[in-house]
Amino acid sequence: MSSSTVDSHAPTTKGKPNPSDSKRAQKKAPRRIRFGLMVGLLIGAVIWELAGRFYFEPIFFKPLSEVILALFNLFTSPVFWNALAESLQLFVAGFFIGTFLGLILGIVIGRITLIGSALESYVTVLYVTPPIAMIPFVLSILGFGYWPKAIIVSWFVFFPVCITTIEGVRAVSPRLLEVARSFGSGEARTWKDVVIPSTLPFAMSGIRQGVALGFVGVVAAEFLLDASGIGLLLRTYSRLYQTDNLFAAVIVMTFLGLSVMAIGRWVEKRFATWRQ
Amino acid sequence: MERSVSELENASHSTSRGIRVENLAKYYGDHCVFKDINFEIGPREIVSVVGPSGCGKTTLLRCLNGLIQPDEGQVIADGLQVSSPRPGIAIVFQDFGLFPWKTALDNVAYGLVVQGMKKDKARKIASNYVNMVALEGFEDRYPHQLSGGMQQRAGLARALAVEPSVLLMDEPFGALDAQTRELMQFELLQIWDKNPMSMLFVTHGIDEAVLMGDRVIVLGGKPSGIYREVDVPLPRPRDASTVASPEFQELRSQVWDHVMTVRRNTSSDEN
Amino acid sequence: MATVIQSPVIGEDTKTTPTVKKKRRSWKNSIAWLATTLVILIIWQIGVGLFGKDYMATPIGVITAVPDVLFNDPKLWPGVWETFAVVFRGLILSVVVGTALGLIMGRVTFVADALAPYVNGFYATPMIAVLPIITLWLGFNTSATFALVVFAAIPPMAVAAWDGSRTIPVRYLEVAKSFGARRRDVWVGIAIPASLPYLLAGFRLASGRALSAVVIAEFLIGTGDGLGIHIMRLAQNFNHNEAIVAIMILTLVGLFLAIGIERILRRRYPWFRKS
Repeated sequence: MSSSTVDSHAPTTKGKPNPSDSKRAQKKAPRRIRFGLMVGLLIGAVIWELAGRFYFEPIFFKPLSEVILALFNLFTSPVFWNALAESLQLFVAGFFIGTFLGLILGIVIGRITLIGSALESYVTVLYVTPPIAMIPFVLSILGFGYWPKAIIVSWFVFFPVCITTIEGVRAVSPRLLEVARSFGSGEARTWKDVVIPSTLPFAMSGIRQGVALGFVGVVAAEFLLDASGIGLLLRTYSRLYQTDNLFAAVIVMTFLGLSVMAIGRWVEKRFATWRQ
Repeated sequence: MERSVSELENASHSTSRGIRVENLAKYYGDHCVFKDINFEIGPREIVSVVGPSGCGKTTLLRCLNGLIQPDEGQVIADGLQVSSPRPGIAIVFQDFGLFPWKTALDNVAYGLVVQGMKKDKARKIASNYVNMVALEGFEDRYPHQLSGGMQQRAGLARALAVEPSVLLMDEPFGALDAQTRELMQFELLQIWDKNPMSMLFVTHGIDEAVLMGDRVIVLGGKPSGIYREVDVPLPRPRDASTVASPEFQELRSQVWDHVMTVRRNTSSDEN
Repeated sequence: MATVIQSPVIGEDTKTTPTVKKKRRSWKNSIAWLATTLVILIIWQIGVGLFGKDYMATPIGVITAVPDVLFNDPKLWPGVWETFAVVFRGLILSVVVGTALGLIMGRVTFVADALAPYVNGFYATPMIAVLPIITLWLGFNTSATFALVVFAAIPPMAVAAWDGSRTIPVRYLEVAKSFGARRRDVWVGIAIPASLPYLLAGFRLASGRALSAVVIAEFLIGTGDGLGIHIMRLAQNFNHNEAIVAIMILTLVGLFLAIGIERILRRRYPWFRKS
């Protein structure tokens, strides 16, 4: 991939506008009342309810009201909370392993240019390989249990963190490195003053993606390896044709996913106050 | 290593013997950027360097700072050969080179901190220089919250804060709009009048070169070298009235003619 | 993209030298690349030999398996065909629908507000979680796989097109207006080219998610002859070398979708920058 600093961008970020370009048009009316949002949600809810009541077989589709009821039952049952805790624990373990390795390797690859460019090509290749495809190998080598799942989750997290860190280290402005050198700064100080602060926002955007992917990894691992946590719950509901519970669980996943993304964005922002 | 302000001051002023360039040459592969460069800047002297793009002005300035090594010849500052960047020689960049994650004050204090000063103390000294360049009130802003002129004031203050005996200016006002540039020129002159040091002023602007310099070196040729050296005997302190004087106009057109002549036979890819 | 740090041009004089430096660097690079690759492969081979089990993949094993899998495996090419037919059909549908949705959302705020919770919600839901619902509706077959691919690929396309059409530089629109451009000119001449970088970034995401979706669906549905199933069976029967060769095909397609298409576009439209 290109090592040019101007070109560098995180390969998996959504098409976000470049903050340094102030000429972008962005309609941002403060505190606009979103009628569209309410109308959209209302129409969706009505269609869901009516379709469930009058159109579909109850095995395939449940009206919104019944799904909400199932949601309440879910929230009051300890089974759900235990499953959630189990999944969360897996997520945290995998996330930290993946992030740690991703940061370390990213810095090494980005900084040691000769070996780095070779390793980077492999990281890129593995990154475009669907991580799910690794599951059969992990299964047949390591079997069932906790750690195979944690490895899968960290595999999901590792790549975005590693790749954005590489980019971050490479994107360190040569001018700022020169400034540091012209003031006689040593290597350690240069890292503290220049390399780390300018890499951090990149790494954070990788971590944000890692958080989202790690969440997917948890569900995948719990579904395809040793069933546990939320994955086991989903599997059970679908096998027993408890459609209302299944829908409720998927809704929970959606909100978990949304909040995981929001947390990631918050963390990313938090570490880059100096940017626009 | 920690130093007090007065020690720094001593280092910069009493022992300052200016900077001398002897037979300097720089090659990139077979390409010769410049050669046979000889000149000297006295301890209280400003020398401007002008020349067409591609003539090696910026490379020359980097050699003087020790950021890059010349292939022939040597640079001697304060009686010592410059082989790597060292305290006493500071540089101001065209694109400011401010750290976007540091506030204006911390940017100004940067050089002091790097040289081993405690952060609190460095900030205290830095705030004097913030005042000197008229940035007071903006200490806590980040660079992107400052205008171009203010950013370069911070860049200038950062260089001045280490009390250099030699100040290298790499087209410092080139990225600013015309009005701001003019303002900054006179402010820089005022600062220098109060606290003169050796200064190398690399610029594209011929007016600027004449206004700032005690001498103007016209760089160019094939390979690049010193084409002409023009003395600028305009009295100091210089200000807006200097620009209006007929002597200034005369010198300016002289330098202009030299640059135009040398431009025709300089190995430059026009851009 | 959000994190571009402006890199200054260092000194006019550095411009005079790039050819010399670049050549030397690339020559050194390929040596380093070869050396590093060799070291990785040797460590892998020896590592498996010392600590691994005999069915685990080794570089030599994978290399010797390549002709075997490519030419003598009757199930491979039909599987490749089946799987990628689903991926491409799903991607085409997603690009069309997602881009249309996103462009409308970018131009009409009311629509954007109404659809945003659905687009974002579907985007955030792990696709594995919806697979049980999809199989419930469509059964355990290829149409379920297709549906999951579309479910995975539409949201990133829609979000990208939405971002792209929202963030057309005002200056372009002003220029167009000042020259009296008609509405159609603005769309064809400005809106689409200006949001092309976004669409491309969205397509990269969408294609990655589509590949993941197809593999997940095939793993979980467990029937059919797709490449995913083939990989799963090879791995479960402890033919790891062969499974890795099969995965490499998946990777190559992934690389093509992620990088190849962008390269082609950039060659065709030289003005086109990554942004």
